Amino acid sequence: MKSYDFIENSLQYLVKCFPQMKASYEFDDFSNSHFIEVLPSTEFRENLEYSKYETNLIIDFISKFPNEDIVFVTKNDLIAVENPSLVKKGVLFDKRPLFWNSNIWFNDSMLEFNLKFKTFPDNNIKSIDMVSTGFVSFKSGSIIAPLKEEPVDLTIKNNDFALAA
Amino acid sequence: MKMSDWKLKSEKNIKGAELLIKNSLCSSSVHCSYYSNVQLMLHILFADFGKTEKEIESEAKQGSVDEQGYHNWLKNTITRELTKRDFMIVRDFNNFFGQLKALRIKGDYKNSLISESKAIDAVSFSRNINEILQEKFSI
Repeated sequence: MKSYDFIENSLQYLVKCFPQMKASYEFDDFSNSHFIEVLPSTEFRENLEYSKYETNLIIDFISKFPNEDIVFVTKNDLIAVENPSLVKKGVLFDKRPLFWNSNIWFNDSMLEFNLKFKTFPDNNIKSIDMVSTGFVSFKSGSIIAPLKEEPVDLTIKNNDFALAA
Repeated sequence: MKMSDWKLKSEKNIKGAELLIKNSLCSSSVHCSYYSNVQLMLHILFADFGKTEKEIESEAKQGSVDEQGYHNWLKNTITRELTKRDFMIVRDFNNFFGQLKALRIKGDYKNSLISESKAIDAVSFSRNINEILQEKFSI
């Protein structure tokens, strides 16, 4: 199998496993490197499952094609993919996630929620990700406890969002 | 901790890159940023892997044939060891170094200049790579 075929198959599988992502491929013959730009950059940087997939792919590629380089980049990186010869887009890539946030105040403290609603190709909302929650206490106008981000998956079993809201 | 001239040269190259940028020699600076990493990797073979200079030379010769290039052999040798020590860091190492390598080739051979912002980013990438290496290897 040639390196290009390996990459094409891997990117096809990538967007199947991660339908919210897009991968654009370009070969740089000056450095003999295969560049793959992956978007959105937040998923590229923060999605742990994606990171594992990419790491395995890199290790597999190096063992099969030790004389070539495979390099994954994202937006605002050192190298940009400007003229991709191959683009693979997941079915959810163009669907903007719906965000909702709210603050609850009591006494001098605030509880903050940031939720991201995941949609699927049939346009039904199937799950909610709690992107971050925060608990901030104010005393004399200054923050004494910082917001903490702890992603939590809140998968729901039905689509009754009137109740959820 | 074993010292080598590779390590000293690695440290001087990153300082050299910064000096070149300060003096508006941005295209030339990327070369220094990149070689700071290459030299630190050679130092790892010596200080962490415990190889002699002769062994490194001999393995590099064979590796350059097998993996079609000295730099490929060196990067792949370090990557294989990183995979054993910290699987998840392989990704950052590979992607930072791969980008810096491509920018270095552009800076050295292509008929175009490297901007100041790219040169500064290259120093930052090089420092990140060196930090990964320093954290994962006994150097």
